[in-house]
Amino acid sequence: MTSSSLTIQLRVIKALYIREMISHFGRKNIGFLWMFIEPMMFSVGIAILWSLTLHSFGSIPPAGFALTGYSALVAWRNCVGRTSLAIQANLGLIYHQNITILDLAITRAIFEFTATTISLIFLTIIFAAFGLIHFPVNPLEALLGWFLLGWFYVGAGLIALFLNERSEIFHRVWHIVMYLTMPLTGAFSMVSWLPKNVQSLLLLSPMVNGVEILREGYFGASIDAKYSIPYLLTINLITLLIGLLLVKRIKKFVEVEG
Amino acid sequence: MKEKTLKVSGIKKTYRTQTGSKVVLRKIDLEIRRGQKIAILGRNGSGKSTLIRIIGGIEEPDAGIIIKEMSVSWPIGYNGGTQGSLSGLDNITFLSRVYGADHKMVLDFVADFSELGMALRDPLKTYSAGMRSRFNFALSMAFNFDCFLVDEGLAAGDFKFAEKCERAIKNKADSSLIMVSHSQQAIKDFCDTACVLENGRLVEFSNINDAINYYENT
Repeated sequence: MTSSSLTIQLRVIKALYIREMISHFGRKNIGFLWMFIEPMMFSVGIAILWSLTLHSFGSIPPAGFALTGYSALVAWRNCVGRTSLAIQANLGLIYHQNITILDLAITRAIFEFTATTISLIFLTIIFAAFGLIHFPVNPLEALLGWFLLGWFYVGAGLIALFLNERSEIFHRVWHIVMYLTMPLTGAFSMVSWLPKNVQSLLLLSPMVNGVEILREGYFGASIDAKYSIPYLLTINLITLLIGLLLVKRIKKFVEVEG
Repeated sequence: MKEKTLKVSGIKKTYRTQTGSKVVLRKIDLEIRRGQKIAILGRNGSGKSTLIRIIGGIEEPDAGIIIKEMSVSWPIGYNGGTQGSLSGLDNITFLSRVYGADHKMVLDFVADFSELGMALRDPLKTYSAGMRSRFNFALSMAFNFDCFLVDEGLAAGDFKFAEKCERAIKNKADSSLIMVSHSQQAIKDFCDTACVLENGRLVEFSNINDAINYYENT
């Protein structure tokens, strides 16, 4: 049972990940298919609503706009919301010294992000097959944008976990925060459609930058995406670093039941 | 080759309570050799469980370090360590992965030892208290830790199961044992040395009877 700590950590994260899948989707019924069906129903619904309201999306098809925007929104909501509960849902597991709080947090954040990723890929294929959208013009750029978004969500999730453990107020206000940050997710508008003074403000949000890259990857340069990769990278790095430092401090004030 | 040990040095722990801070562990030093079985005696609230939890890595001390050259079990004796919402089988699979143990061997051992049969397919939260502690004990014995941490004796199940637990622990002759208990009989049965925890410090005794005498007369 003597292995290096990296081997142990990878082993633990793998075990936690599988466990997360079992307890999240269950073994009965269609189980993990819910991973796709729930976001699918949502983005199809939004796409229909937006097509009916004759919303103008420039050259972007409504279904594609809804798919990219909704996926980003859901990943943001789930990574933050579910990672903030990573300890409360797993208190019994801290009994095992191999399992650290960081393992619990990282597994949750990555699980939520990969779940949305798989649904995004799956829905892209379905939507393209039905002719609702074209296949992404530049898949690698879309992936890059999505990955940079995920990086930010994971870092933010770690910080949310710390805040939730630190104070009960977080639990009460996070729904409000989620609503208020909706414009900052980049889901509802391209930056270039907005007035100039709003543009520079919105581009301070890393998520807006990420969604602009994602959409450029999906729909091509003609949509006039605005973003800065160096800025996004810097913010991601800082967020993740703060998240890791904060999570490292948690163990000291968590009360383990027993 | 140098013998593997578990070394605890300079452990301090203070809790903040409503009425101010309470020092639980002042300065704990302890070294356990491979195969050594040590009992920790102490009154309720003396910090025995806190010490076990710190050695087990559940809580962090305010100061001091623990050098583990041996693999150490999770504290056995509570319901901690298993997940109520998952079935017995899923718990077995999960912990086998976490500890890098052979899943089939762990499963066979737990099924045989706990005698739970088909109940292993049900979520642990549907178990009775006796079934749950049988499951937990069997699972902890299924892994070959170098050092086992046992809190509050082996109150699991009925008389017959208690005997089985005793045999299981005695079979682990090569492993070390750190045991916290009120039961003098259990301590005499399992341990070869004993310490008394009082006022946040450990008083070590080489002879168990001396420790028990000291504990009873202070």
